[in-house]
Amino acid sequence: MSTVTPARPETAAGRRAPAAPGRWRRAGVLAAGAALAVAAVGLQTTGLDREARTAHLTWTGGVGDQVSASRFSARVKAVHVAKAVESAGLDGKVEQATTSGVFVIAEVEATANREPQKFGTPALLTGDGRRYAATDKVDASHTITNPFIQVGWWVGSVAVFEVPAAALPGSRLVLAPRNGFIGEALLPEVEIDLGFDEATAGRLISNAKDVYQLASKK
Amino acid sequence: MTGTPHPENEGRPDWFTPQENRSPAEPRPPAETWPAGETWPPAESSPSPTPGAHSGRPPASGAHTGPPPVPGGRPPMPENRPPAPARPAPARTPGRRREAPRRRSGGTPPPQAPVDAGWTPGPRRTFSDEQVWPPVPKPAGEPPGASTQPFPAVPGPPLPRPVTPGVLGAGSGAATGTGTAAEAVPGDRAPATPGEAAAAAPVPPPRRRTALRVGGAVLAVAVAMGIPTWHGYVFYRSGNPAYQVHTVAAGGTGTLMNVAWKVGVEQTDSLPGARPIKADQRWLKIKVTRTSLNTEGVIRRGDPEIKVKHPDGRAWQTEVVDRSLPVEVKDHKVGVGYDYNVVSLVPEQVAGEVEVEVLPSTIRVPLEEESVEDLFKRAGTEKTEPQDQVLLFRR
Repeated sequence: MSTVTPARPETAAGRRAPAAPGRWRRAGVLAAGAALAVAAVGLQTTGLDREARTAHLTWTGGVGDQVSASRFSARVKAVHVAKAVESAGLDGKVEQATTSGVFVIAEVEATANREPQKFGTPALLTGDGRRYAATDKVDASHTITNPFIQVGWWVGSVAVFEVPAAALPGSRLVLAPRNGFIGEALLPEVEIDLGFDEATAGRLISNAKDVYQLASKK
Repeated sequence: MTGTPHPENEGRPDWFTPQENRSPAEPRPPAETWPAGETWPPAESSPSPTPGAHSGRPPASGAHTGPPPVPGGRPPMPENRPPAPARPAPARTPGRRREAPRRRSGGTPPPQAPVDAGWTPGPRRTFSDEQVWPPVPKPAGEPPGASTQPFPAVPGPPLPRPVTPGVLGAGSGAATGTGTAAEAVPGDRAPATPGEAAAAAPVPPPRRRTALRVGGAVLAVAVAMGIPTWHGYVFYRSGNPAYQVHTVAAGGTGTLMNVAWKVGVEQTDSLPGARPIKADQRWLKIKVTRTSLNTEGVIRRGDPEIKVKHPDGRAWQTEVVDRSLPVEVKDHKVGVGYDYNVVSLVPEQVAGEVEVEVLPSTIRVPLEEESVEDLFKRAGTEKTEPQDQVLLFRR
């Protein structure tokens, strides 16, 4: 037929069929593929999990230090331990909050770097690895989460935690800006070591005030 | 072949029944019983293959990519007709072999298949030869393409073919094989001798397509990194639009979206009813006046966003104390100014420098009370505008 051409003899030797992969080459390719798959799975384990990816960026310091994060600065002026907290309600009545543990009251000051912002709920990281959110027995309008943190001046307020007495040693106070509806990853936060060792904590607890009076709003 | 025997040239081919293409004068046993490896050793009748001409070509692929070799002494076949099919060698598995008796049970058995009437375990049977090559002439009435029988797998080197760069598909190879097989004569096998193979030109290396591969890799990486980046940027811009700032001179009026805006700023040390402030702080009393220029401006009567900013980027919180905007739409007059009274607490040293930014609302509030049906009808028909237009009032 038409595909049979006289040129066939000349072109015959110039055409070399591709060599079929040998057994060892197939094995090598398979081993390489398996190694790549194992490497991919292994790499996944080194990646950050969701919690770590969206975690805050932490600046640390101690009591009395000014800890400057990227968007704000904060410092803890003093820490008190009390068995009850008294604050004025909206109607002027005094409300008292009691606990089976202790209240830790941290006097906090903060200022912003560029834009006004508010703090989210403060947290207390204790020495045994637990995380306590600020208590809701005290109205949030009395605490550091209420005022706007603005540029140019320091805003002072308190953060109140209700914790078991045994959890005090080694605890740190964590402050971060309030996150929006669409959560922002890598927010700045400050972690301030309250300086409680066993002796200090025991002394503070034994000397704890019966009632701590929260200053009313200015 | 199934049920009632019918003519071979009936329109639709039977795909599973072995075609009986032999001429009446040349009967043969059924195709399933053909022992391919035993009756046709082409290596014996063909010239000795040259190692250089077909190194590495597996024998099985020769049946598909090249024409099967032709044993010497065969007469050339008539042209324009595919060769008669035959069952390939792998079809001789027991499972396949059982197929023929079952299909044949209802019809007329072929005349020379008495041993294959049914499968029964027993000693190995031997079968007589069957001609598969050259193809037996088929009945004249059979339409082209009626036969689907493949070529048998031919153990031996493929015939050389003209070099057609870039076309290596199995389909073209099969087509070529069909054509050449009918016409191939023993003389065509001449180039396979060792002398000619050695004298041939050096083999051109296969095309590497390095640029294509590198380009593809670069493109893949660019796409894989670019799409998440673009998606993240779009998400970021959904919350942080690229603001377009329209600067208004001190005391001037800025017009956006059929509304004229005017801003007046006052400093004061104390506000009635407000808590006392520190010595280094000042209150700013800001009056933002909006005037609708036409009905479209009335539609754009959503509350604006008001910011107090220093030129260096620092910002302070503002709070709208009251507004003189009429509650009812029908009281909203075109050309009449309505005020927003805003207060802001700023440090004293920047109280004379800070500027007011007004971001008019892009929401279109309809003029009449809208029924829920109309609201749903309108929903989605208007393009939502990003609130990215900024009026910056200089001090």
